Amino acid sequence: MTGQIHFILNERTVCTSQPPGITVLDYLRSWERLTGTKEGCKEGGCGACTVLLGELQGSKLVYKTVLSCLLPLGELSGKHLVTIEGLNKEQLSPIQQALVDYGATQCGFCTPGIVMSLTGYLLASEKDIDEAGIKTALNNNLCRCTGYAAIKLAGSALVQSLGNGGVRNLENWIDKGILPEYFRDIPSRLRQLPRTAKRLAEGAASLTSSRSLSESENGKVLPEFIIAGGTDLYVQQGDILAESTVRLLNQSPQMKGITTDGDFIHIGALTTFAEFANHPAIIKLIPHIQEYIRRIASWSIRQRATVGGNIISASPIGDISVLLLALNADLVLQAGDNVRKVPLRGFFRGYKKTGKEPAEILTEIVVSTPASAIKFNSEKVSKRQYLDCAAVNSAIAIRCTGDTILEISISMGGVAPIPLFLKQTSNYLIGNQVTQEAIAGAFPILQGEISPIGDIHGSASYKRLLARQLLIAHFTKLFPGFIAVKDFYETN
Amino acid sequence: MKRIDAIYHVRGKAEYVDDMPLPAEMLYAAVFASTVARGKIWHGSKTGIFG
Repeated sequence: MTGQIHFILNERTVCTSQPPGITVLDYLRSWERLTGTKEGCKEGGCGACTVLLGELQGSKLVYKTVLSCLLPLGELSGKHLVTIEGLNKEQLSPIQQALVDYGATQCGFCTPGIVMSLTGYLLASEKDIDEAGIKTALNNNLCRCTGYAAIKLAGSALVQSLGNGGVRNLENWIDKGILPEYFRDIPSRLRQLPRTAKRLAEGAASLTSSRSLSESENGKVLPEFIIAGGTDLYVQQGDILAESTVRLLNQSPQMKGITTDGDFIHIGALTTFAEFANHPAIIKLIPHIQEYIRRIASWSIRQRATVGGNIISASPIGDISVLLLALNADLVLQAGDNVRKVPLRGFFRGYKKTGKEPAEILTEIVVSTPASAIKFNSEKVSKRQYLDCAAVNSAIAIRCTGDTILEISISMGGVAPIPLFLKQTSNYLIGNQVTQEAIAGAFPILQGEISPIGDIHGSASYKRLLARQLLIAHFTKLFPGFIAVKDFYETN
Repeated sequence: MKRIDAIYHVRGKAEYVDDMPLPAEMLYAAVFASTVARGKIWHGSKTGIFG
């Protein structure tokens, strides 16, 4: 099932019949021979493959900074793909010039990615650019040579020269020399692109299709992959995806967005991590979500990774899965006209196995809006502070009167083949007061409920220790008036 | 300190080995350690003495 993918690549209009499941990185380097975009890690960690992806949202042209090693070619349909070659003009842009002036390159391998990230930040910024924003933008990129100091100086110089620039729009950036002139025509050219490979879009959007295996090509049955953000799938199975048929769910607008209806929050399965953390209903439910979400992936991956994807990939340390387990979320699964709703608790059946039937697609996640105020906390322990998987992570939702626990749900990842809802530990604590004795009383139950194994994230005994410590952390963070860390020092 | 090649870096024009197109009929070599401490190298045969 290949159609043709129509998009604009830098200045050219392109129509390609290459498989929609190959990565944009491979397409650029192998087919287009545009080698300015580099392959560093091929798993979304280094940013050397960074490109910009522009799309018309209404009348506005919006550019996202995207890692091309995790981007399926089919996603380019109807959009403007910009590589470093597409930013080059006769003169260096102010970003390029700043990097040159401050000696912010050595081997230069990371440099195109840095130019792309900084340009993307300028284009996406709703307000004046500042040093904190530059630093966040550069979270996307690793540099092994320079030690970053010169890059930061170049960034500061850009803030000086471009900050407080007035109206922030495409014309503005072209006039300032950030973008080449041809960008002026991009909005109209995007509108004129043929409505690409309608079959691609229809295949994905049609939830009435219930095939899980595609027709064979040359007698070989190719597994069909359902791709949302692809940020885990391309890391795990990038080679196979290149030669498989794929269904790109991002063509389905009905699975995006978060709505509320009084009693429930409806989270479309294609809601990105970034959208999740920015939504007022989520911020109300999880006040610290914007701080916590920064511990998950990187900001550019968070613009692609989806809530549904995190659940379906069923990692035992899935950060969003762990949050949703504490919130007792329900899942809406659909195959053709059959729709069913199942609780997330009980959905994970074994290591990377879920209760989803092969023909089903997860369309929505439903969370009840709490009747009265709950406290929510989440914790993540990982070797690196950012862009790393958890060794152990945990979330807690708790309702108290005074210091007595009325309702409590604790979840934990990294301590079993699946992300766990700690049913016994939670039940034990109901009715107790928030005291050192009560919490310490839960320790043996906690240890009985979890079954961590030693792996690269840590030994089994280390994870058991982390489980205990995170339980303490939840309570000392949420109830500093009732309990302190030092209350636990002497206990076992 | 400014570098003379910084301009190529920021434009993505610096060429690295992985960017170079492979020549036609390119041969590949692999390096390994001999399992024989002291011996003679035969020409070409992959099948060994008794093959």
